[in-house]
Amino acid sequence: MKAKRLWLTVFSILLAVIMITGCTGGVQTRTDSGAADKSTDTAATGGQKSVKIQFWNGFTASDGDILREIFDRFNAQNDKGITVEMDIMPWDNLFEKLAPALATGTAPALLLLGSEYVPEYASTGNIIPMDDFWDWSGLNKEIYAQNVRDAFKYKGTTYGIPMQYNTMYLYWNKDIFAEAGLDPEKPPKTFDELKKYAALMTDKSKQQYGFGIALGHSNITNFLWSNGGDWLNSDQTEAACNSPEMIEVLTMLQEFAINGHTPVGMSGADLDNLLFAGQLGMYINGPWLINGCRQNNLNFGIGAVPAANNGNLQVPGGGCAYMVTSSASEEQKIAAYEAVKYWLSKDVLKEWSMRNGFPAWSEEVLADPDIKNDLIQNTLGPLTKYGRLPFAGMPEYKQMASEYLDPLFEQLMYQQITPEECAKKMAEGINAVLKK
Amino acid sequence: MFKNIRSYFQRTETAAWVLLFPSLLCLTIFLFIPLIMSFGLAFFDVTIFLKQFKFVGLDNFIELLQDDRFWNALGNTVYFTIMVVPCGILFSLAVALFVQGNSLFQRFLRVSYYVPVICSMTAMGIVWAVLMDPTIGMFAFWIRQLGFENVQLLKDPNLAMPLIAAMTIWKTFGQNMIILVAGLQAIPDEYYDASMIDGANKWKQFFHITLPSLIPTLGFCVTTSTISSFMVFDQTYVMTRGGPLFRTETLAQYVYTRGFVISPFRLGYASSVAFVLFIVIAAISIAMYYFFTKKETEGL
Amino acid sequence: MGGSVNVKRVIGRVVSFIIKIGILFAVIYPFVWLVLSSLKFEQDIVQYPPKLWPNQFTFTQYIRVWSKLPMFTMFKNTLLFSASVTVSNCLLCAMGGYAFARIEFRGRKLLFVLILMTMMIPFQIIMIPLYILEHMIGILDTFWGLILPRLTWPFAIYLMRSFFISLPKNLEEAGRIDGASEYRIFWQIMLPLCKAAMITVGIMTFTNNWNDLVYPLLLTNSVTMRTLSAGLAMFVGQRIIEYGATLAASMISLIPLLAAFLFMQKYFVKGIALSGMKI
Repeated sequence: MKAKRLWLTVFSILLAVIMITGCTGGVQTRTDSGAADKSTDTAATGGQKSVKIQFWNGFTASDGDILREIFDRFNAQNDKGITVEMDIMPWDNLFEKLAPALATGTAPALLLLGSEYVPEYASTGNIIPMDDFWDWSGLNKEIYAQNVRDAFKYKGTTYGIPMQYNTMYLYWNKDIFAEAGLDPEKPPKTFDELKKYAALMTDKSKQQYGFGIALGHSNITNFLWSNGGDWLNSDQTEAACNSPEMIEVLTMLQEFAINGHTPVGMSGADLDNLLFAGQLGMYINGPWLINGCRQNNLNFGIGAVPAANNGNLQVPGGGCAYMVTSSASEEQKIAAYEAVKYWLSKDVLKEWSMRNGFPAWSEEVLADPDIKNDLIQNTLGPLTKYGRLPFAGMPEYKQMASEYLDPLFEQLMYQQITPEECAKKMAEGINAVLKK
Repeated sequence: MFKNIRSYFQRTETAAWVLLFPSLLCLTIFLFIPLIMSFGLAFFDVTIFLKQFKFVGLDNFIELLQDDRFWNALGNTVYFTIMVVPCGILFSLAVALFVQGNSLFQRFLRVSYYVPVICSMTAMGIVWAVLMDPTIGMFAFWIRQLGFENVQLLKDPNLAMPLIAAMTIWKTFGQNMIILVAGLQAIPDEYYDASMIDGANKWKQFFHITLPSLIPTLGFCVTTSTISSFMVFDQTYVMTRGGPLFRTETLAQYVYTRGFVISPFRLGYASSVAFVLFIVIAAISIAMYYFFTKKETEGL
Repeated sequence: MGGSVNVKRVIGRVVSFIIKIGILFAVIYPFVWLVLSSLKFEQDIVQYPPKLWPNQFTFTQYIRVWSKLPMFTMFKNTLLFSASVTVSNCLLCAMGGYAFARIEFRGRKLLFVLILMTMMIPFQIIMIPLYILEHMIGILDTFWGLILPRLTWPFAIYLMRSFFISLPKNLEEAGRIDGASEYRIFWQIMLPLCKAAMITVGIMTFTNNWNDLVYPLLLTNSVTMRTLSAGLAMFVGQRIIEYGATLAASMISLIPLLAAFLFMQKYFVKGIALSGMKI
């Protein structure tokens, strides 16, 4: 009897929960699925049309908080009745959802994607040309750095308006520099110095590494261009990476692993942890680590990546841009343009740079006294011009990277192949993809 | 007329269908239809954007046979299953024998051992990945204290998969344990009493009474564990992403990588891999199902 | 002789006690680490040498999670989704399991194997068709869209069948002689007997759906529809992982689950014990 009562209690609690949560507005027959269809309605006030657009991005960590604040402000301030509904989710989940959403026309009007996705999504017609943006907005496009604006073109057509742009930087731990008898204010400038410093700072007994090299072929690009080599020939029809310059870089990278100056097989996130924990002397990465370094009370420096011994510097650059999907109606496209225009205003761009550490890329912002007085902005801003897109405008890039370049680089670091074999196989892989 | 319908619904066989109807309806709409759609894709050359469908017949399957990464993933999956299912079930059984009693302490242990099962794999994967970091992780630290200097744990190509298997056993042994405890408790005491009179020792008892009576329960555990081991995804996704050197790339992970990660996002090809995965699991688990059903009726 | 048997027994007890405690330690340690780390400042979580005990206790991580996410909405969504799916699973799977276990009908074996096979489908493979299907039906981004596909669960049908098969044969015979209908037999005789198995299925369904990340994320488009486990993912960026907040978010989503489990565990452990399990 007692058991029966308990049984009934449990069941009725569950039912009650459903009723309560249901009644407080949980169950709606159809919530605003936002996307392309029927997301416009007439606002009660003044009969002005209000437009709602969905906006997806993968800024899940702390930078997403700042992004959300900025768009909340846009929603409150704009006088066109535009509401941007921002949905943040991990990048992986975003791409999983995006494909069927595009296929069914329920994709968001506005998207944030990295420059490396432009060729893929543009060539499949999933994002639409934004060439008319600058004329429409009335903004003077000349004040925004040209290499940044050009980073989101595919076959000469603009498919994205930049949101942020960065290149790669060298982070170094000043405490470890000092312990190793090096000047904490003088990071390595050349390959030779990099090798020397890495050796000096490595201390196995303390599990301390001089230099961190993560997985991923971009670690090669960090040095390859400086060294005078390149992945492809100038008209991007054939691999050019089976070259002495490439082999030199690969040899250097593999030696770091052989000598134990870098841990092997670590992902970017693993190495970030090592840096934060004070176990890593030097590390090359983007500006997103700045806030993490600060939070972890790390005594760190940030500056240019060591260049080849002849002083030539060129590093991979990249960024994120606002893109409009094929699911957007004309009205939603204009609403998206308004939002992007708001982003390009001086105050917003400045706020993003100051709070998030990303270098400014518009003349207006660069000239701002606060930016000029900010040590990090002052260091990173001038480095933007050394940035260059790897494999620019090639829809095949991602395939080459994930099928050949990244796995081969991993094999190199695990010492499964020699630098010569690695260079040769990478060239073969690139050519195989190009031929298809 | 009305009476006819009434008596039709009263028939035992009809009752079975009526009781099954809601489940079958739901499974048909939300599982079989998407599944058929998906397997249909295996015969097309199509990306996840579903723009151009090109019928290619069996080409995807032919390509698959020559795909090293597919064979590697199949090998890894089998390796993982071989580690997790026998070890996991033996471990669960041993633990179940230890905690089958009804004392407060044993009940406490049972509940505690079950706790990892109710946690999310994502959260536990993150925790374990930090604990197993070769430099700043707690486990590596302990191992170094024991005098082993070069500890790479998940970064060691030979250790990565066994460690993931160990983590999986940690996460899931509670489930099989609780089911086996139930099986053990269901064995009537009279069986043991009778054998005591015959003078059988503990080992003899275990092999002659406990094990045969547990066959159905073990069958359930083995079948369900095998199915979930073949579909392993979350652990490798969170902890290694298939690395190092593809040593932990499983079939489910490969399906995902082909379809969603590596451009040009070949959904058709990914579907053909999934199709093969499905066939393999189906064959093995149906064989197991019949094996255990037979054993159940025949005895050991 | 008697003495050595006693010594043997004592040693055996000590050894088994040590093993039990050892396993307990291995099971509990990651949780202890999780709890203590969620109470640390960010810089104390990843540090060398690693330390378990916080240098200083803080609730900042919890405050951060609380301020960033609409916890109440997420909690409500998770509860609504998991609870309704749980209730329907208990009922529908009991019905299905009963039919497979106790009623002879044509095609039973084949149908059962078919249901078994649906357990073997990796979710990744039906993700895209499911999205498109829900779009076509028009239930994408609604609670119905979340709940309907999960109304039943093949694993639970299997479990329920195993339970019903182990019940004595003569149970329904008595009912049939009395002239009760099949539905009445199920509802009044069988269902009350399987409440323990239903609790088992209930706990499993509830925890699985509570923890599920990809599924609710795929089928909902609005922030107001997100569940707690999606919240967990909000601190794991592609390039930045906020460990403190991630761990705190895991704790927040784990605590209600743990509480529910501890409340139900008595019936749960007993639940399977009654079933006896047959496949």
